[in-house]
Amino acid sequence: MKNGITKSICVLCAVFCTLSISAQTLNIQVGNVTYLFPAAQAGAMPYDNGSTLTVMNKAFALSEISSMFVDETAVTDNAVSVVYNGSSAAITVAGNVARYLTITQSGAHVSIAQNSNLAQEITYTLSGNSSDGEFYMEGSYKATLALNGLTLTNTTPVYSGAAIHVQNSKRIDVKVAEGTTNTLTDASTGSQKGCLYIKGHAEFKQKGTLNVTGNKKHGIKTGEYITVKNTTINILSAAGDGINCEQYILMQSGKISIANVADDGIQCDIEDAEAGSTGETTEHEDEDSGNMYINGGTLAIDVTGIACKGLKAQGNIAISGGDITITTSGNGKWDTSDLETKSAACINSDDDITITGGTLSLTATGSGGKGLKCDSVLTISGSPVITIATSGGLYYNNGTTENLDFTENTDNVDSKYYSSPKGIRAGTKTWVSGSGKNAVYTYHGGMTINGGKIYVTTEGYNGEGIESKNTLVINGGEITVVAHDDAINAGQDLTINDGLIYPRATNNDGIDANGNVYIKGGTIFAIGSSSPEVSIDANTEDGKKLYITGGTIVGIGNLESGASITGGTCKQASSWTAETWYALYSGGELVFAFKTPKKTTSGGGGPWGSLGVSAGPGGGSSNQKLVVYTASTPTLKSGVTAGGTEIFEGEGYYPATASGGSSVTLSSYSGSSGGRTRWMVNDTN
Amino acid sequence: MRKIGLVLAILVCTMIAQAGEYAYLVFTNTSGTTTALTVSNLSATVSGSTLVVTNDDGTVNFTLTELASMQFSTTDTVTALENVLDGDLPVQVYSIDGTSLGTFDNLVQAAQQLGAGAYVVSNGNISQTIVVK
Repeated sequence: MKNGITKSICVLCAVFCTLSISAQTLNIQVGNVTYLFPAAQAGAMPYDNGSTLTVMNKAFALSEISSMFVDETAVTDNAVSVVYNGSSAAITVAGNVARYLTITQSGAHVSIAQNSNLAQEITYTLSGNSSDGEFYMEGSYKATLALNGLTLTNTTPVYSGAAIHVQNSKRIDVKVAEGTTNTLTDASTGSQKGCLYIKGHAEFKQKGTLNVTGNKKHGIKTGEYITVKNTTINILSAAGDGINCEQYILMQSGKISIANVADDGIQCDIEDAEAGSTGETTEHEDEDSGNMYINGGTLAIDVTGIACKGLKAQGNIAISGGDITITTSGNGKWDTSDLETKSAACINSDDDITITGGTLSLTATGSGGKGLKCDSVLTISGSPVITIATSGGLYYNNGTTENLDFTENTDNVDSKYYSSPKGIRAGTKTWVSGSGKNAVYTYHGGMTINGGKIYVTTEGYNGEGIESKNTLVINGGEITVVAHDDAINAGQDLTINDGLIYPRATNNDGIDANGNVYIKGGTIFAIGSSSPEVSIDANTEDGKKLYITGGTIVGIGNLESGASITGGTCKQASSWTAETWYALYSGGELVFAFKTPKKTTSGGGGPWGSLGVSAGPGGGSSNQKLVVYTASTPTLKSGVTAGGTEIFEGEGYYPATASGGSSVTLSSYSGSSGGRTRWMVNDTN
Repeated sequence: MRKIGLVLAILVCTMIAQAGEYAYLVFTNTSGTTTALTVSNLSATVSGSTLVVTNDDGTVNFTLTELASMQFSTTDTVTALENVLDGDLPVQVYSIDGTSLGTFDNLVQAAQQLGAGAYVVSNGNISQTIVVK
C-alpha cells in the first residue's frame, strides 16, 4: 500500500514537473538557435532603446533575432539540445540557462561556452547526423552530455579536431541513451587528444552504444577519471590508445571493446606526476592514483602495436569481476629513452595487481609478449578464472640488432637486451653491484596466490609460466602451468602452503626458486624436463634448500639435491609409463589421481595443443624418475581408471576415485645431484 | 503520506488550471500604454525599426524605440495587484532567476517593499509573475 502511494506521488511529481514548464512558450530564434522561454518564467521582458530585448536576463540584439513566436513547446529547465542534420545543426536552449551561454556555430560545427556564473547543471542532448560537424563545449560547471542517436564526423575542424570536445574540468556525465547507437569520428588533422575529449572526469552511463574512431590520437581521452556503468563503448580504431585517462578508471558494468589501435588498449596515468599517487581513497574522493578498477562488465581488447599493452596502469589494477579478453600481437622493441627492451603485455601495472574475481583470457603472441605483468605485488584471491597463453619467442635487441626468436643462453646476457615471453611476472629485481655470483640485487614486490583457477601456457624460449622476481607464496587455488622454461619460478623464497598445483616445464624445472623452497601443504604435480632439470629446484648452489614438510607431491624429475624432507614419506619409481593414469595413496587412502605426460628424450617445445591426449611434446624426459611424497607411506597404482573432480585441465582428479590398475614398486627416494640454478644477470624483463 | 499525495494532486490540478492561462502577451510602451495581444499563433519579426507582431486577430506594428517591455499575462492588462493570488494570504517572493527574496504577509505588503522589477510570487499553490513599477 505504502509503495503504491509512493508510486502515485512519484507520478504526480513527474506530472507536476512537466506541467510546470509547459503552457505557452516564447521562442526566440537567432540563426539556428532557438531559445525557449516558458511564459510562467519569462516575467517582464524589457526592450532597450530599440536595440535589445532582454528575456530572463538574456540580452538579444534585435537585429540578430530571426523571429519570435509563441507556442506550447514544453521546456525542460537546464536543457540544451543539438540536432545535427548534414551541414547544419539546430540548437534549442532552455530559457533559464540562456543567459549563461554563448553559442557560436559554423555549419554543423557548434561551440557553446558556459560562463562562470552558471550554477545549474546543463544537459546537452546531441542527436542527428553530420559528416562534417563537431560539438565543442567549454565551462567551469559540471554538465551532462546525453547522446541520443548521434553520428558525428569532424572532417574540417573549426573549434577542435575532436568530434566532441569538452573543455571543462568538472564532472561530465556521458549518458548514452538506451536503444541508441552513437558514432563519433574525429578529424585526421588538428591537435585533439581524442575523438571524444573531456578535460575533466567522465562518467559513462546508460545502456546505449558508443562507437569511436580516433584518427588523430586516442579514441577517448579524459584529463581526469573515467567511470563506466552499463554503457557499451566500442573503440573501432585509434591512432593512439583506445582509451586514455588520468587519476583512475572504474568499470562497474557495461562493455568495452577495443580494436585497431596503434598503442595501448586502455592507459591510465597519475595526473599530477610531481605530487605522486594519492593511492586509493575512500569512495575515490580526490583520487589521483593511476589505478584501474574492473568490478564487472565485459572487456574485449585486441592490440597489435609494438610493445603495446591491453591494459596499462601507472598505478594499481584491481579486478574483482567481469569478463576480460585481451590479445596482444606486437613484438618487443628497443626503447631509445630507457635503453632497454620493452615488450607487449595483456595487462601491465607499474604497481600492484590484485585479482579477486572475474574471468580473464589473456593471449600474447608477439615476441617477448606477456600475459600479466606488474612491477610490485600481484595478489590473486577469491575465485577468478585466469587463462594465459603466450606463444611468442624470446625478444632480443641490443639497440642495433633485433632477433624475434632469440634462442641463445641468456644467463650471461644483460636483461635489458631481451624480453622473455612469460605468462605472469610480478615484482622487480634490480642490480646494484658486482657480477656473476657476486652480483648484488634489490628485490621488490612479489606474488601471493590465495585462490582462483589459473591456467598458463608459454611456448617461446625463456618463457617462464609464473614468475615472481621476489618471493612467491601460494596459499590456494588451482594452478596449471605448461611452460617452455620454468613453470613456476621465484627470484627469492618460494612457499607453498596449499593449493592444487601443476607446474610442467618442457625445457627447465617444474618449480624453481633462487632462494629456498618451502612446501608445507597442497597437492603438487611437478614435471621437469630432462636432467639436470628437476621437478622442484632450489638454489642449493647458493646455500638455499628445498624444505618439504607437508602436502602431497608427485614429481617427474628429481627433487633438488639435498632437500630436507620431513613430515611424510618420499619414495620413487624407477620407471613410469607415459600418458597413463596413476593413483597415489597415502597410508592406503587415495589422495590424488594423475596422468603422466608424454615422454621425450630431451625435453621439447611446441607445437602446443590443449592439454590431455593431444598435449605437445616435452615435460617428462625418459631419464626422469617419478617421485612421490605423502603424509603417510605412499603407494602407487598404474593404469587405473580415474574419476572424481577434474583438475589440471584434465590431467588430474582431486578428490579422486580410482579402480583397477596395478601396483607400482616404490623405493626410498635416493635424491640426486640434479638441479640447476641459472645466474641471471639483472633479469628484469 | 496520503496528505502529501493530496497536496501534490491539488498542486497538479492547480498547475493544470494555470497552464494555458497566459493568453496574452502585453506590450508596454515607454509612456506606459499597454497593448494586449492574444498569444494564439502569435509571431513577431523585426523589420527595420519596427516590431511586426501577428496573431489570429491580425497584425500590429510597434516602433522599437518606443517599446519598454512585453510580458505574458493571464488577462489583457498587466497590473501588479490584479492577479489570481488572494491578496490577504502570505506569499513567497522569488526573483526571476529563482532566488528566494523572502515571505511577506500578503501581496500588497510585498509590492510595497519590493523595488521595481519583475518577480515570481507564490502562495504555495499558485505562482504568478508580477511587475512592480
